[in-house]
Amino acid sequence: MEKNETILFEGDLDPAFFDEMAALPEGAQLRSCIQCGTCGGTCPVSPMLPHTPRRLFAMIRAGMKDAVLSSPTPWVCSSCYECTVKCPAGIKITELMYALKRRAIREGVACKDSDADRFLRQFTDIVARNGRSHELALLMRYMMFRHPWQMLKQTGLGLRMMGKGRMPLFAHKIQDKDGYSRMVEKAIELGNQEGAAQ
Amino acid sequence: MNEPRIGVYVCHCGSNIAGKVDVKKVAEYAGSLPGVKVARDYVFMCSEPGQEIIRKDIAEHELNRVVVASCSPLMHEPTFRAACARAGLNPYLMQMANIREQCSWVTEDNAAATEKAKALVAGAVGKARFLRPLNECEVSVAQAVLVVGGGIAGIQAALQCADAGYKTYLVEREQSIGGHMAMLDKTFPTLDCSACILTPKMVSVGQHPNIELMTSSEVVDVGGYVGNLKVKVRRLATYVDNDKCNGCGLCQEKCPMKVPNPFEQGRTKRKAIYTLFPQAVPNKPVIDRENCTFFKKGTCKVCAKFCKMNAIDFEQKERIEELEVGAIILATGHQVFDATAMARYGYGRLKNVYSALEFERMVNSGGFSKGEIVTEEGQHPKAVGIIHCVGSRDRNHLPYCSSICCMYSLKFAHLIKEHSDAEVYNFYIDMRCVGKGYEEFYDRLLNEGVRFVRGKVASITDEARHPSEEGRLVVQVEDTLASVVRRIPLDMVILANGLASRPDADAVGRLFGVSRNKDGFFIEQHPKLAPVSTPNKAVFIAGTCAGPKDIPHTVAQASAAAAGALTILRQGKVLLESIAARVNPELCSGCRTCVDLCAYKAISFDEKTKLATVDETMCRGCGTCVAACPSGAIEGRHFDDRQIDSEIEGLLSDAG
Amino acid sequence: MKYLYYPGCSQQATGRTYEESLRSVAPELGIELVEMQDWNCCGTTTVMAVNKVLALSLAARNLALAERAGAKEIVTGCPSCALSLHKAHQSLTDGSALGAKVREALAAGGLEYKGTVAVRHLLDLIVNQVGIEAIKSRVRAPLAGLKIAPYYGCQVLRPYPQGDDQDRPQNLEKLIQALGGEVADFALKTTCCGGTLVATRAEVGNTMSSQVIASIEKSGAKAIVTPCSLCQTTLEAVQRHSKKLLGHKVRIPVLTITQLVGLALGQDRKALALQRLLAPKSCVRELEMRPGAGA
Repeated sequence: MEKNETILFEGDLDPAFFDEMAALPEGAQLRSCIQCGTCGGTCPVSPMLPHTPRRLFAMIRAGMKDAVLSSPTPWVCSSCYECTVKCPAGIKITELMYALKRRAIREGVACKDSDADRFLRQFTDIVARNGRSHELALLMRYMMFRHPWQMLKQTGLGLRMMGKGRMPLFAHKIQDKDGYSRMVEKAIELGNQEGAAQ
Repeated sequence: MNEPRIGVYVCHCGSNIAGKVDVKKVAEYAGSLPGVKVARDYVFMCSEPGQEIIRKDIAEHELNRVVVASCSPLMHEPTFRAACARAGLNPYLMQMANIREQCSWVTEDNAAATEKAKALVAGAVGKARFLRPLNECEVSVAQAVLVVGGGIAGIQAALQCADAGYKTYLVEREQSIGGHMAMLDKTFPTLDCSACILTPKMVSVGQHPNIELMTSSEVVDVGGYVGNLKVKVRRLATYVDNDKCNGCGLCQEKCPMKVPNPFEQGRTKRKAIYTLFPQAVPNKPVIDRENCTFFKKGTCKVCAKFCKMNAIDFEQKERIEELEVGAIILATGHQVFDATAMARYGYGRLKNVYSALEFERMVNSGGFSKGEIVTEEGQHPKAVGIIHCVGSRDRNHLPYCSSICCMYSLKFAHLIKEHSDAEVYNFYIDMRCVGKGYEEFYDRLLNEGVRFVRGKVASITDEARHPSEEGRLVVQVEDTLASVVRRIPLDMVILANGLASRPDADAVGRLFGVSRNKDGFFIEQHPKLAPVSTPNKAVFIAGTCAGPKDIPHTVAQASAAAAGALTILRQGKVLLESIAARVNPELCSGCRTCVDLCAYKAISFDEKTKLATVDETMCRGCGTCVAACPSGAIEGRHFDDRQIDSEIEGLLSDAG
Repeated sequence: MKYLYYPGCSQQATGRTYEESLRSVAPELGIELVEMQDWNCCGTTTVMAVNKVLALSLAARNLALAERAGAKEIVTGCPSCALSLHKAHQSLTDGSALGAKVREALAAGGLEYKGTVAVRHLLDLIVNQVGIEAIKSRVRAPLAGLKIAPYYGCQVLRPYPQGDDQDRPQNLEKLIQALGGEVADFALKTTCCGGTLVATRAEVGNTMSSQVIASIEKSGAKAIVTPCSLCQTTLEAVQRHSKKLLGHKVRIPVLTITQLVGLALGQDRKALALQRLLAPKSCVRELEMRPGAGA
């Protein structure tokens, strides 16, 4: 049957989602949100997105889990922390954005308007293996197959940067390879427990 | 004393205690303790039937000690003491064990709570064994009231007390009474002219035969005890003899020195000799010593030259006056939140961003722009924005809601509409309109065409991003109802600053023995049932010094505080508990450790006998000197060593 | 004074001008920098979006190594690195369950951290430690009233103020004035440039950085100074599209704080890596050719 209405039926929502977010250390003051809109008015990225941070919190409160996890807002957050220092309720908004990203990755929810998660995972992968980032490899991996046009557009800049000596060709590798990879492995394992029943 | 015959009463307090503690077991246990002749449990000991049980048992079982295991003594100690007194037993032979606030309300496990209750009862019984009868001491009450602060709260309280026929001192730090209300233009929701409703009261104060008005004065010391408070007031030198001055104003006209006028928020100038505002009471000028040419350089004296009454006195000295009063009302008011703390609003940096008080003065016909709404460039604004919640509801500044800002912001919106053709925007988070006629006032504004945007303004900038923004202030805000970020160009922005406690609230509180909450407001005896009393029987609080509030609430509190003060005065006598410290002259070594420790200055040292003595009327029985005395020479009556030791033994004994 | 130096990944890549000029000016400022041995990526803002414990552990490893080397302070020029290191330090000293996990990961790598290392950003070090007076006394080629826009970016002040007033920062202004320059104030000096979005959402990032450039342009600045190498790269790169984004060409050179200091110290352009800037040679020459300049 065709759906003309946009009523959200409580049975289709997930009110526990709010409790889960509020229970995280990042969500310490989330319940105190009075929806004042300071974050939305301050965020330099908000005007370019469908959901301001405030709107996202209203959606979280309503239990609109799928809509929240597939929203581009957390992915396009630039971590500028303006919202965090201004929030009158003291909510660690930027940290919540990270938590939402991690949750979306964990639950395999894709964002329609951003594949930033690929970029972030590739970055993490490179660092986990080499110990330091390698911009050239990262940009190539990220863009080559999925965003070939963008890669072509950036080629000019890329070559210029290489010419200026600001884009090394080879990756640096950590000396203490064993210690480093053991730490990384353990950290990944412990980090993956986030969200699981503790 | 004859052998103790103790009655123990364990209260259920409905399910408050009985729901956690097994009261029957506790009563049974109590009955097994030595000296206990009767042990009962009952639903509500503080009720008439409950008290009757105690009285009957005292008579029938010849009890000479009573222990009531129930709530906090702060609740019902007077109740049970009175019950004993009515049965002919000295009220100080009654001891309470708090098995509610300190037991049933704070323990998770029932069995643990019951054990704890038993221990508390055993402790109380232990102490009761050694209780001694004490007498209360009756002192007469000085028939005068001191009101501190001359804003609307102080004015109302003073008038109430004076009209009742009692001598009232009104001490005000500024040179005129009136406070913040004198600065306002109109008051919500009736839109009465503030000065028009305030000044008649001010004049009454100035003319009242029972009110001694002390302006340019502050309280510097409070001593004495309930009923007989000895207050020292510093009368600052104003350099004008008010008895000679006839208020003609010539000195102000002739004075050559001009400085920013704080009453007009610094936007106009006043002279170095000045009255605060035209309707000041008393209408006598004061010389601002810091800016007066004579005091700075030794020259000028133009005011004295022109004064026909010879009222200028450059030699005037400040002096201390001592008052004796029976009760004190604190009405010291608030201060307005300084928006400089919020850099994002540009207050103090951008032009045409005004604080609420600045706007009050602007729109007031007696103010710095004669009531015309004009920008700093002298233009009529095409659009004005009013930002609610500046400083308030913000963990980083004032965590609470300041109560009046939504209403005065609506008032501003109305006044702007009335005085100009400007568009008006109100930026709010929630609209708080709870008083009589307040919601109707909001509806009125909705219908006057004010543009309401629900969103806390994120920033004010002067950098344009759109042609319509060139040369104007721009407010950026998320319109949370429409779910979109908006930028709105304005020519003037008014901030609705919150109300904060005064910077010296701490010092004032300590002076009068009144506690402050974490926001610096004075704490009342009980937030619901005793909003103007304080734990100090003789001190009352009224108005914004106790928390942000509007004028009706302030006036109501002032009258309530006056009623409290008048009650003490009218009773004429006050009973002082003789729970005081006593120095044993045989043991006192004259070391004087206690003298300086006493917070109530109740201990004096006799140079001749080399002994310390306690003035029992001043002593509050805090026990500091008792604990500190290195010779153990001080005994705390009703808390002596034997009583305390016995109580401890009872607490630590293994319950049944 | 000797300091343990944490470069961070970008300093040796896109942010190379920062480190080169830093190494050039440090001795004259009385700073001896000893690069941390075998340091690793701090995780910056990216890893935190994928795995929290990994992000904190990556940063924590550097703290542990610094502590092991006996250092009381780590100095870094990258605000994001400073932020990650601060976060890691906090998690390991606040007694939280999260900190316990990070400790466990460190231990798996044979490391531990007792919490004794302080993290310091270069701007804080230069302005508050070396001090304005000391800097003034070493200026040999003052900037002669050159109008310079102080661009802080976001993470150097938020959430940790790092030796400045978070709402009304003054460190860059003080530095510019000490070097003889004139401050070209503008409204967006602490607004994010969008640098982190350059790969994933270029159009959003470009809008943000072009707004910053537009704001700076209004101030009449001849150069921009910034304490963040990502901001430097981003603000430089976006000017290439200024015609499309702002409607006209804008070319204002973007210098790191160390490059600016170096100019006023009269140091040589190669030492300051001026040739690595993306700005057209002519604009950079203009800075070098100001009256009173040496080379």
